[in-house]
Amino acid sequence: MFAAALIVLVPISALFLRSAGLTWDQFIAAAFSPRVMASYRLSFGGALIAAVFNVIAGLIVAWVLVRYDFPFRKLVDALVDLPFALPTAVAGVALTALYAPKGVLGKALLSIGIKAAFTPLGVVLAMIFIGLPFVVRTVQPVLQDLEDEHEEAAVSLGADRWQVFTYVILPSILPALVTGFALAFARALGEYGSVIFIAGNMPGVSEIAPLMIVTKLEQYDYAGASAIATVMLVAAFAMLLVINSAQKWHQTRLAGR
Amino acid sequence: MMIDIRNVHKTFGGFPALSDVSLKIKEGELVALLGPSGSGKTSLLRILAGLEFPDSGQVLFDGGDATNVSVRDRRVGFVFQHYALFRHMTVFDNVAFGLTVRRGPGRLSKEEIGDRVRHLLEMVQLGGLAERYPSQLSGGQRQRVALARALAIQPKVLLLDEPFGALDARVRKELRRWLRNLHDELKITGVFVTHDQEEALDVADRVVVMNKGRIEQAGTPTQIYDSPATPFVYQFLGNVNSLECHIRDGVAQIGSLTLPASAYAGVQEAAGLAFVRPHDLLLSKMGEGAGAQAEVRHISILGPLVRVELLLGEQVLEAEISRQRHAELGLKIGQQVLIWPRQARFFLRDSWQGTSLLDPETPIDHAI
Repeated sequence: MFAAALIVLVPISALFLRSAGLTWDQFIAAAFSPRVMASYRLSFGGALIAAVFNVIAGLIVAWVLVRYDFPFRKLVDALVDLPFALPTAVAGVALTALYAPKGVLGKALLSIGIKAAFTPLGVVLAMIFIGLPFVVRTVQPVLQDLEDEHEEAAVSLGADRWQVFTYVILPSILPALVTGFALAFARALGEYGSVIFIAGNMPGVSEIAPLMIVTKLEQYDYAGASAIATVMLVAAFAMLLVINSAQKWHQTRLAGR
Repeated sequence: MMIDIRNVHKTFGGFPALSDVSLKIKEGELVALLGPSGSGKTSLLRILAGLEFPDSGQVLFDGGDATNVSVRDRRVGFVFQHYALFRHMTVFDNVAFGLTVRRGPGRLSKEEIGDRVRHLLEMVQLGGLAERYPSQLSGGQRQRVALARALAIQPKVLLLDEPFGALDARVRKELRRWLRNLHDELKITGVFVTHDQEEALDVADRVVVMNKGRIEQAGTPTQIYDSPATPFVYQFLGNVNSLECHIRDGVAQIGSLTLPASAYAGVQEAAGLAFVRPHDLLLSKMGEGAGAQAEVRHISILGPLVRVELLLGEQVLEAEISRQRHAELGLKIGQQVLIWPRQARFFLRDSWQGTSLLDPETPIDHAI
């Protein structure tokens, strides 16, 4: 426990110490310049949109994998893990090739007037791609363990399919969905490799916060990089804390303590 | 509601769960489906509920065909073995569920739902626990919530799957009485599944004994216990000695014991099984009455009763006698005694048809 804490906490405290070398004004200038602010908006906003999308899509994928039997189900089940296993740069290159104006999907999207690659939309698409397995893999086992009895009880009491889903199934899988959301969100927020290729990295438009950190590092501006990192860390931590507390509250209520 | 089950068949993956089951259930009757696991009793209950559908055959509710009516439209109250309470809802919301999901003309106002739920909770003696969650209740309380929830939709029939199975012995007995009283009060048609013969005989108006997907016998508890129709029913209900015997010209031979079996007067030579309840086996000292000689092998004292294990020829059998009789006989292990069955029933090996009771007037000079 202590060792684990050490491994995690030492780098984090080093980060804070680094940025502590700045004066307040310098910190504000480094961490909240307009260009950096735009990158926060894209990173947090994109991660949020991607995570929300993944919660819905992931639930559908998990539902189909658990409830239906179809040819190649095992294969599809294995494919879900691909974004986990793929080196992020490979994913980034592949996504860029796919969504570029000359790519298969990019061409199709462009024909209906949507430009995906090198725009914020591309960033969100990449974030969706890498976040999906987190939702599927947290929800799937919970769906699997749901007992038929509860659904049968609800139907015998007159509930229709939608009511069974909203009143009985959804509350049971909600904690898993929230966990999946938090994981997908956190991953999308920190993702670098698979996003920067498709992003195009236009200042103020499609630059993500991790890229800003790398840019500062390349300019040997370590203090500026750690200032941005500190802001991201605090924000991410606050969001995860809220999610975890909500989970905890929900569970204690059910356990009846 | 009257239920008529006609020639129902059901197989699960090639395994026949029910074969040619027919049964009529009268309005207001409380019926127990009794049998070992795998006997098809739960399948039959689920078919009644509309949770399963038969491969062939019909289920009629009040004369109307309900075979393919879904569980949602069937209006049955189903109580699951493990209660299946919604654990994220309070007791109140659980009981109200069937009313809150109702749409259309039958929909009740919030006040009406509240009134009915409170009334039901009073009825199942859980008035003060409306705001609790299922995890905060004991097993018996959860069972009663499940019952109240099923009754909330005013079902035409109440179906219960092993209603007392998951409870400890004391609570089970209490809840059994309570369910019986509740049934007498509401006069609702009820069917419950159990593997516990005592439970079935104690609570039900009629007991249906099932085995291997078939109905072995259906009758009142007295009928079932006193005149079992098949060897299976004999063995499943209560303790019984089953003894190999030979039947010839209306006489059964069990070792050195000869008994009249008048129903088999026409049978020339057949192997059979004789069933004798331990409390129907009379014991007397050698030379003091009729019967066959047997050896006392073991004596165990069970409260007011004494169980004596006896050896008749090569067959072991059990007798239950009173403490007083035990003292009179002064039984010791290894002692020879005379045994006489007050009542016995014979089944031929080849068929289970035809039975015979020993004439109760058979002179026995040492009735207990």
